[in-house]
Amino acid sequence: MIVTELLSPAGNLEKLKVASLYGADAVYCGGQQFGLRAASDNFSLQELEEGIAFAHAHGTNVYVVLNAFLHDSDLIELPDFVEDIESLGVDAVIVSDSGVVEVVKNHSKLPIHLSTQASCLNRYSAQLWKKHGVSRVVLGREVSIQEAAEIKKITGLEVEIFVHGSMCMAYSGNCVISNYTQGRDSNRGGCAHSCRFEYSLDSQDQEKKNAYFMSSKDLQGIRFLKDCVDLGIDSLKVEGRMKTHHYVGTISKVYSEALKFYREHGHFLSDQMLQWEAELGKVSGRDGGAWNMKEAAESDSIFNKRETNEESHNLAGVVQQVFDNEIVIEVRKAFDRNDKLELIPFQGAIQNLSLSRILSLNGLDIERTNPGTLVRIPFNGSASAMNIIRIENR
Amino acid sequence: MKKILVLKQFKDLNAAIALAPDELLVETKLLSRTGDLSLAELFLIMNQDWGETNLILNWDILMTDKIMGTIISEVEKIPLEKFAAIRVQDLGALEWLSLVKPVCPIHLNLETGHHNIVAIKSHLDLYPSVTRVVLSQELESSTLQEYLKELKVETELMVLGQTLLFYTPRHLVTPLYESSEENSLQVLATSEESPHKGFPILENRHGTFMFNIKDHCLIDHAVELKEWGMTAIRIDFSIEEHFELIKIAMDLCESFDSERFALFKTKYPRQLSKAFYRSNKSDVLFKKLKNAHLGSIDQGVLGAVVEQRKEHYTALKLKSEIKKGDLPLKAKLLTTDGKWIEVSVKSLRNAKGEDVESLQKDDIALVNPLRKASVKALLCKEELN
Repeated sequence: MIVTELLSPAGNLEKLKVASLYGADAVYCGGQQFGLRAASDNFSLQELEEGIAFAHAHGTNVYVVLNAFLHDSDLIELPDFVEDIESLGVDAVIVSDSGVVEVVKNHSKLPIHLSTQASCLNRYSAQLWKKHGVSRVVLGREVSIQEAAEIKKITGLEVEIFVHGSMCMAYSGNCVISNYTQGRDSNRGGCAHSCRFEYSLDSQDQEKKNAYFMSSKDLQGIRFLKDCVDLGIDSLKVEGRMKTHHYVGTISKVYSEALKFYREHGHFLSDQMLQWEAELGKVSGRDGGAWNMKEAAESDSIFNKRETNEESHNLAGVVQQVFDNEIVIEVRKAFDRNDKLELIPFQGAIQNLSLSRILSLNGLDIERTNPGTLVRIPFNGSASAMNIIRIENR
Repeated sequence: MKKILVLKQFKDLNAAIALAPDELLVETKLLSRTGDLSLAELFLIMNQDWGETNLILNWDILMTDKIMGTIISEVEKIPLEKFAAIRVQDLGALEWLSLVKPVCPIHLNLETGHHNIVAIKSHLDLYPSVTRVVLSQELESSTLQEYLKELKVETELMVLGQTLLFYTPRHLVTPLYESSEENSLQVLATSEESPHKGFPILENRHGTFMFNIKDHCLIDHAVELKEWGMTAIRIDFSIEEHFELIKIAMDLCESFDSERFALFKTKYPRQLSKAFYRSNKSDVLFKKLKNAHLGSIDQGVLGAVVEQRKEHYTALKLKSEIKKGDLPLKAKLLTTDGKWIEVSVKSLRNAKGEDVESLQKDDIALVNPLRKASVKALLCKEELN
C-alpha cells in the first residue's frame, strides 16, 4: 500500500527542523543557486549537511530543488554541486529543465523529481519525462487528483501534487512578466509577483475596471485528502519556502495529523475537519479552496483583493531552549503580558501560554518584548526547542 | 532562410496567398492559443493550392490529461499528412505524435524554458521526428550564433510579433464583465505598481494571455541570422490588417535597408523591442535580493548571533560545543556586511545567565559582548577567512 507523503517547504535550516518536527515526511529546500527562490535564505552546503542529518534522524526525506530554467553559463557549476549534495545524502532533486536532468543523470545516481515548473499536465508528457529519466512528476497545479491517479497508473511514475499554499495563476514556467518588466528572470528565481498587482482594465466596448484579476486564491486541499490517499497519490506538496515558521509548522502539523488519522481510521470526523480548517485559517492569507483538485478552477478562484497581513494569528516567537519551568523564546513579533500567546506542540493540543512574567536573559522583568531579542517565560507545560509560539492579533 | 507567416483568421486567407510566404503557420481555435480558425475553415485551407508555400499546423496549447483526451479525438479527424510539419509546445503532444505518427515531421516550440543547449539536445536525442526547434526570444545573439553551429536540425526564431508574457487556462477577464466565455475578449491592463502601461490581454476558450507592451522585432538582424544559419524566421502579425507592413517586413528580412526600416517603425502600430537579443542579464539583480556574505560560509561556524545587548552580553545560537576550558577563545566575527572582526570569547553562561562548564550545539550561549556583533552575524573559528 502506498503511504502518501507530506512534503513541506524548508526555506532555511531552522524551517527544515520545524517542518520535520511538526510531522512532514519530507522537505524540499534550495542551495544557494539553481532554485527558484533567489530571495529565500536557502542553504549553504554545511547547513544542508546539518539539515539532512537532522531530517534523517527524524525520519524525514530531503529533496533539493534545482528547478530554475538554466542558461548555459549556469550549468558550469552544476556538476560539482550535484556531486556535493549526493555525497551529503540528499534523497532526490527536483528539476524543471531537461538540461539539468541530463547533468544530474551524468554526475550522480540521485532520483530526479520533475518540478511543477515544467508544467507536466498529461500522461503523454509524463511518459516523455520518464524517458528522460525522472522517477517522479510533480504535476502542474491544473491537474486534478483523478487525472494524477490516471497518470500514475498509465506511466508507473510516482506522482506528486500540490495540496496547500499560494498558487501561480499562470501555467508554471509560462510566466515571464518579471523578465520583461523588471529585468528579473522569473524562471531563475526572480519572480516579482506582478500577478498580485491591481490593474485597471481598458476595453473599447466595456467600462473601465480596476481589479486584481491575475491574483489566485490559495490552495487548501485538506477536504480532499481522502481522495489523494485512496487514489494512491505518492506525495502531497505544500508551497511556501518564503513563508514563516508559523506557516510551515502549522501546515505540517495539521496535514500530518489528518493523514495519520485517515490511515488509522479510514475516515474523517466532521468536527475534527472543522478544527483542522480553523487551524489552517490562522496561517492562510488568500481564502483557500481546492482549486483544480476536483474541477477546473473558475472565477471564484480569483483573489480580487489587495494583499494584506490580516491573519488572525502571527508568529510571536520560536522556542530556543527549554529549562525546568521556563522556556527561552526568540521573539519574532513584539508582545506584552496582555497578549494571548499559544504554544503549538509537535503533536497534540495547542497550549495557552500564561505570561505572568517576561524576563530578559539578564533576569530583568520586561513590559514589552522586541523582535530579534531573546526572552525567558515561566512555563510549566510540555515544550520542546523549535516549538512555535503564536500570538492572536488584537 | 524561410519566411513564415501566421494565419489565425479565415479573412486573412487571400492576403496570405498573395504574400506567398515559404511557410504558413495555421492556427485553429481547437489547437492554438490565439488562433481563430474553425475545423471547417482548416479543411478549406488544406485543400487550397498553395504552390510553394508549406502549411504547418500549430498545436501550441497546453493540455491537462482530460482535455488532451478530447483534443486527440479531434486531431485524429485531421489528415495531418497534408501538413509539412506539426508544431507542438506541450511535450505531451510531442510524445503522442511520435507514437501515433512516427514519421510526421515535428517542429518543437522551445520558446519557453529552454535556455541551454543541453536541454534542447536532450529532446532531439529522444525524438528523431523533431526536424526543427523554435528558439527562445530570451537568448542573446551570441548564444544563438553558438546554437546554430551546434544544432543539426532546422531552427526558427520569431523576428516580428507579440511577446507572450503569461498564459493561464483560467478565464480572468469575463468574470469582470457581462460577457460570455465563448467569445474572445481583449483589454489593455495597466498597474500603478509598474511603470509599463497598457499590457494587451486576450481571453478566449483556452484561457487568458498577457502580452508585452512592446512587440518583438529583429527584422534588422535577419541578415545576420541568415548568415549564422537560421533556417526560418517568423512574422506573427495579423495578415490582412497589416498587409503592407508585413510585405515591407518580409522585404527587409530579405534585403535590409535602414531608411525603409525607419519608415517601417514609424508606421508600426506599437512600440518595438529587441528584448534580450543584445544581452540577457536577467539574473544579475539576484545578488541584491539577499545577503551574499553570510551564505558563503560552509565550515567552521561556532554560532550565530541571535541577540546583542551592548554592555551586557552577546547571545549566540551555538553550531558547535563550547567549553569553559577553551576560554579565552580567539575567534572571528563575520558581520552582516561581510567584514571580519577579530574577537575574543572570555565568558560563557547559559540562557538563564548561569555559569556553565560547557554548552552544546543548538544551546543558547551568553558570552561577553562582542564588538560589531548584530543579529545574524556569525562567530567563526579563528583560522577561517
